[in-house]
Amino acid sequence: MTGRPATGACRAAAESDSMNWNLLKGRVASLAALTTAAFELPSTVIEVQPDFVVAARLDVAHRQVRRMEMAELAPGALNPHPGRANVANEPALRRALGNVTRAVGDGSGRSGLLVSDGTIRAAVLSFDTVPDDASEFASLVRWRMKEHLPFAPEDARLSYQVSRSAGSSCEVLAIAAANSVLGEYEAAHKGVTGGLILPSTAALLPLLPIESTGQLLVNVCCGWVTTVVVEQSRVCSWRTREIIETAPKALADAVATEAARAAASARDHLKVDVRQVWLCGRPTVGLELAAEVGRAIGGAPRVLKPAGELASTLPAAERAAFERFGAPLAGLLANVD
Amino acid sequence: MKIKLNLAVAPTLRERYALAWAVPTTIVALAVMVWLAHSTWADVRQARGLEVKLAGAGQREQKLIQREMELRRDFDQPDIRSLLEKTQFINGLIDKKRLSFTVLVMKVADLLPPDARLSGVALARSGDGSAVRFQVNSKAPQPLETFLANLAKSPDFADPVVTSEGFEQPQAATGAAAAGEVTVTCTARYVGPQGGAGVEETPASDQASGEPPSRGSDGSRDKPAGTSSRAGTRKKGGESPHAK
Repeated sequence: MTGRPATGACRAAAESDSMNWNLLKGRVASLAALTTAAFELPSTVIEVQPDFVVAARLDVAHRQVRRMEMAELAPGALNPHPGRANVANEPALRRALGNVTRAVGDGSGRSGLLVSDGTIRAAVLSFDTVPDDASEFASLVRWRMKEHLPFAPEDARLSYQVSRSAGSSCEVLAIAAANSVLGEYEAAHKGVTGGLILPSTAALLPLLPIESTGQLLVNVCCGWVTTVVVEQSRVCSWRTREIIETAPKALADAVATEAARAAASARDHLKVDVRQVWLCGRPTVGLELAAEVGRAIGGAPRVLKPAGELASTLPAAERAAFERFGAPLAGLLANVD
Repeated sequence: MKIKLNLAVAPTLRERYALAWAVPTTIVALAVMVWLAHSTWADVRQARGLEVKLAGAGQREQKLIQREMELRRDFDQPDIRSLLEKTQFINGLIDKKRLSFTVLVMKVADLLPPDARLSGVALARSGDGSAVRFQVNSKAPQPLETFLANLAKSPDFADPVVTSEGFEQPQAATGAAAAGEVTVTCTARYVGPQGGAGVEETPASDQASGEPPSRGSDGSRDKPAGTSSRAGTRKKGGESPHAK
């Protein structure tokens, strides 16, 4: 009489242990899958934007771009969004990625990936007190990012860096993207895993000089505009919005309006006076766009261009492509110590 | 400004240290492979040496088999075959000439009537025959005559000759013969059973106690035996002589 209940209890305990073990393994695996790496610059970097795909092979040690290749992407093949599937035409994306990577070579086999700003969500978070434990702080940042994410925070890949620290309080620039969304890019091009994944605007930040006054970076690319207010080494604000206007005049007006709004917000809310505006537009910054932005903010913006010496060894055609599309690549090379 | 952001998944320990472990693992694997190759080569050389030795042993065996066949062929030749047959015949004769002393005593005991007793028997080998000397005692002459008649009729003995007769008076002192007894000593030639007795000689401990061993005229040793019929024989190999 006592044998059966004991056996049943043992079996139930074993099943419970097994379930706990599986649950624990699942949690560890999910945590491992969402634990992001530190910054590193692979020798091959690929940028995927809705209108084009760029691949470059970098000589990180000498801060040189050894190869550069650009390919246009079919319209509608990629629709950046932080909360839903981005790749609408995977064969076209694979074909474009294959073309550019074959042209520049795979290098060491690990690649960096620059994605559209519309794929990620960024936020500047302030903390009055910071836990001593790094994992607790990461959990806190993830919890604070929850209100900025259109997807479950458990599915988010999160990366952050402290912008300013004063006593027990600090300010953090955090970016997050859905694991499933980034998985689409990684699936389209194997080798991205373990490398570098950044939004293109983040790659532009190292190009900004460190100044005590406020600076405004305006990045316009493929229907998305991102404005970032920077003061010294501190990112004060990050705002990304989609621009539906396609006509040059309308596009210039929309970008100018967004830049003026960011500058005013920084001045009114952050008490940061923007004295310098950096404008990066790809493929190119039209005169009309620069004029509209200058008129909106009351000063001539400076166009963010990659340094020519980075592409000194490139052929003429690749050098021209680098000058048009290579600003984020130049920023990545400038970020290397 | 510097950025430290990265949304890429952190490499696992295996991905991070795979390259670092690849070199020592490769070195160890190569060392193991070299050791295995060396060991295998040593085993192969040893196996080849054993094969050579085995082949030599096989050749020697073949030579011995050939030698055996040659000897068998030589052995099957007529002259050697006849020599073998002669040898076997002579060995058979030798076997037939074997004499069992126990059987002899039993045969003599069968010839004795109830009132006579055998007080001595001796065997003398001479040439290809055996001469047996009996000494029989009795209180009356009649049993001795019966014994002599039986001896004369016995197919195992031939040419019985009475060599002496005697009568001893009763005495108080101890003597070899009993008081008032008639003693007859006779000899006969033992022809043995027709089938031959393959019995070996009797040990000295079974010899007769009343008469020392004597030598025959041809120098062969006489074999005295006691009168007791339980005097046993011991056959080489522990086989009873009566089983023959």
